[in-house]
This record gives sequence, structure tokens and C-alpha cells, in this order.
Amino acid sequence: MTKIKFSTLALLAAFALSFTACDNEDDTPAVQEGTVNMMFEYTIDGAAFDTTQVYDVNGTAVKFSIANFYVGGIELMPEEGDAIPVAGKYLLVTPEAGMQEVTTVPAGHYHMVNFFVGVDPTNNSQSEGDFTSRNADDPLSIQFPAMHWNWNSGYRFLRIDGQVDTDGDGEVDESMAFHLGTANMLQNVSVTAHKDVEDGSNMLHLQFDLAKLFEGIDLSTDYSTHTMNNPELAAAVRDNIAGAFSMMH
Amino acid sequence: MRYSPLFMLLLLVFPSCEQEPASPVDLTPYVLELPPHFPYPSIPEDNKLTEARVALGKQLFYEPALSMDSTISCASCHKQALAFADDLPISPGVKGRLGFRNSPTLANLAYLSVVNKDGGVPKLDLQALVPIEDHAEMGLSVLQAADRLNEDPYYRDAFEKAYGDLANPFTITRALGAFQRTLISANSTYDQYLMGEVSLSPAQERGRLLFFSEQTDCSSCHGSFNFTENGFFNNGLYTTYEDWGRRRVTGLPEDDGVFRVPTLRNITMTAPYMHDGSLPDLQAVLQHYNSGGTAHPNKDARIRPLQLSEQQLLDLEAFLHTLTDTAFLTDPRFQ
Repeated sequence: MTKIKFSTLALLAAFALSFTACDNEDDTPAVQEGTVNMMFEYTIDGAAFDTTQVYDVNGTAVKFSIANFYVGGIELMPEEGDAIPVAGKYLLVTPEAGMQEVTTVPAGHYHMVNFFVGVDPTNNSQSEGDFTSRNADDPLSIQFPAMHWNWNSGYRFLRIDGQVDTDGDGEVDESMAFHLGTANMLQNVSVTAHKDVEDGSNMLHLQFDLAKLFEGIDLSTDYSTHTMNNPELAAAVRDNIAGAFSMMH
Repeated sequence: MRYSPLFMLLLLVFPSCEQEPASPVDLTPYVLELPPHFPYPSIPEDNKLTEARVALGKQLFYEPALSMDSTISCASCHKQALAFADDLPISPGVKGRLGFRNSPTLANLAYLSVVNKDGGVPKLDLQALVPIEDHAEMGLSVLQAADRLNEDPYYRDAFEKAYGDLANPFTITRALGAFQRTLISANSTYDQYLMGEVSLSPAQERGRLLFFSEQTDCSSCHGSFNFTENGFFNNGLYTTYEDWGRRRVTGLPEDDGVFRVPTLRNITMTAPYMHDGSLPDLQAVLQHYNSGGTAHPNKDARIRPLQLSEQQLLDLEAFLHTLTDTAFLTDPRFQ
């Protein structure tokens, strides 16, 4: 009788073990935590982004087809204490990407969000792990449309493709390509957030304005750079990156 | 006996966190055959040479489905009979599109540290992305190439055997890398001479001495068992370079017109010469080096007027002929 009882207990214990063996979750958190998501709202001088529409950017007619970029080095600055870095997290931001989960942080007020547009030099070098050895759901894996350079084995940090009107006839008939990459194209961005992160899901809703990205650039004459072949134009766009972002709410 | 149902249950329960056990991967190793004067190349940990990987890589090398319109394979521009190079200055890609560089030999790629004429690709196992995706070569996203291959049961099976996975950017590039590492050319007349099996003709011997002399400095760039020290230099071909060479990768002015020093093995089979295929034959190349080249701020100091006689140029050419490995050009393992 005792033996049977023991075996029943052992059986139950084995069951209990088996059901928890695969997960590592802790029990209820001591402090309240909120999930932080980021969403980038694309605009052109405040107007909604649409790949079918022709926009006037600094007096030049432009149509966009691709407007993708990498965001890394994300950190949230709480009211007090040190910045909370989100180590190793990359987002591939596209006009269709919508809300993307970033991290979980203690509830509270966060006054700044910092990040960079680009990929850090180690991940960009491709010498150890590379874009082919990543899982398909990793934003740094090979993408379509491509966010990598095969010949230079690095990432396109920012890729804006489309068509421009170069002769003022109103027809957008020349291919536009702004492909920024390599170490000195990495651009730090700091945005004042004033975000109260609460228990549950929270969103940092940022605006990314393409007219600001091309501020001071005459797109009817300067409409193509693959960074190395036109580093000056790439740098002009890079220098506009930080100013193209603002906090919506 | 009475505990057996419990043990059965435990056996069922505990392995539930483990990976699937049975693997279809065939790990039969592929060993490179090399003469004593060839070192064994370093093989990446994540792409050990196996029979299955090399066989798959060979299949992919000859596979036109890797190009946009299924017209071009790797072998279209890298022909075995031409030491896996081509006989055109610039080989056409899909839809007759022309790139801007001459198709190089693939012999002994296993010994390269960085790949391509500008060294822009850090390892052979990533290089296949360049021709597959380049607009003027095969013009297809490697993701689309993978989708195509995975539709074919033959390839699904071959990829599983080679890597335990389907076709994807990793397995496609690794299989092509594995096959290309087997393209060893080590049995030229010169290799046979080194092993004491044949002797060189008087012209070849005079050429050999010139080649390795300080008078020409040929071997200071084209040295070692593979006839390249894997350096990158400007050889004074142009005053202004349309193709920036290594500058395209580094952005540095001092890399303008700087290109990889290629192997000279099978050099008689790989005309036309130079990064853009602009020199039609070996005498044109030898005359270029004899002249000391064109002025350029990055021109290497060893490119200088050599004052070689006509006879000496012919002797050098005779020596270069000894670097042809005829068995390599017809080796059935590569077909």
C-alpha cells in the first residue's frame, strides 16, 4: 500500500517536472513591467506616405518605392538612474512594418529614447556570423528587397528607392537610389519621448519624415548614391537622419 | 515489473525537450588530394568538406535556375576547359548584360583569405551571393533562388543530405564554397618539375630564373606555391581608373586602381588579362610590365621599366606555359 502510494506520488512529481522543464520563466515579477513597442509613421512633409503617390520634395517630383532602414542600439532613459540598453536588438523598419516589440522595462517615466540608424561594425563586418547564417526571422538575415551589399559584404543601413523628375516635365522617369552603409554612415538619434510606461503593452510612436531626410538636397540633380561612389551625397543624407525623427506620442 | 509503466512514462516525458534524433545528414568526408608542396587549406568549421556538400555544390555550379531567367549558371562564365575562367574581356550575364570585370580562374580559391578582385567579400563561403544577385550576372535574389530549389524534390533531398536543412542563403553559398574548394590545380608541368618527374626546356629554365630574379621581381607578388602572395596592388595599367578596384570597397584614395594579384596557374588558358580583360595575350602583359606601366600615384614601386630583351620576354612566356595543368582542365570530378 505504501509502495503504491509512493509510486503514485513519484508519477505525479514526474508529471509536474515534465510540464515545467521546458520553460524558464520566473514567477510573478516584483515590480510592474511594461512591454515597449516602437512604430515609425512615415510622412513626406507631414503628408501620409504612399508608394503610388508623387510628392513634391524641395521642388522636385518624387515617387518612393522602398524606404527601409535598420534601427539598433536602442536605449531607454528613465527619469532617474541609468539608461536601459536593449542589447543586440535590431529592427528592420519599413513603411509596412507597423508596431515592433523592442523590450520589457520597469514601469515608469522615460524621457528619452536613443538609437542609431545602421548596423554596428561587428555585425556589419560579416567576418564571423554573417547574413546567411542567421534565422529567417532575424531582421539582419538576407531580406527581399535586399538590405545587404553582396559585393561589399555589409548592410545597407538605409535604403530609399524610387523615381524622380530630373527635367521638370512632371514625369518621374529617373531611378532614384539612396543606399547608405559602411561604418561612418551610422547615425545616432535621440528623441525626447516623455513616455509613461505602464503595466502591459506600450508604444513609442515616432514619425519619420522623408522631406526632412532630403532637406537641402536637390533631388533633380542628386538622386543616387551607393555610398562609396558618392560619399558626399550619402553623408548629406546621413546628416539629416536625426532631424527626420520626432515623437508622435 | 510493477514500476515499469512509470519508467515507460518517464522515458516518454523527459526527452520531450530534446531535438529530433534521426538526422539524414551524410557526413562522409571529402579529402583534398595535394602534392607535398601544397599546404592543406583551412576549411571553415561550419562548412567541413563532405562528399554530399561537394556533390551538391557541383550540381549548383552548373544550375541555370540560379539565374533570373534560367539561362546562366556559374559555369557560363567559369568554363573548366579554360581553367574555370572565360575567353571574353567581360562575360555577358542574364539578358546579355555586361558587368565590368573579367571572369577570373577559380583554381585554388581554397587558399584565398578575402575574395573578389577588390577583396570586398571576407570569405569564399559568402562569395556566391555576388554572381547570383548581381544585376549584370545572374540577377536573382538568393531568397528566390532558394524557393526555386526547394520546389525540386531532388534538391530538397540533396540539401538535407548535405546540411540537414533546405536550400537557403546559408546552404546555397556553403555548398558552392565546398565545391569550389575542391578545384585544386597542382599538377602542372612546373609541379611535375618540382617533384623531379620532368625537366624544363632551356627556354623554360631561362624564364624560370628570370621569373624568380630580382631583375623582374615577378615572384615578389606572384610567389609561393600558388603564384600569388594574395596581395593587392596598383600595377600601373591606367592613369585614371574607371573601375576603382579596392577603393570601391574601402573608399580610400590610396586604394584607387588597386586590385588583387591573381594566381598565374593556368595563365595560358585565361586570356584576356587584367581586371577588365583589356590585354589580349601574354606578350601584351609581359610588354606592359617591361614598360613599367603608366604613371599613377598608387603604382607599386616594383612596376618599373625592366629593360628585358625580346628573347627574355619569350623565355618568361615559355616559363608561364609550364604553369598549365592539363589534367585540371578535363578532370571528370569537376564535371
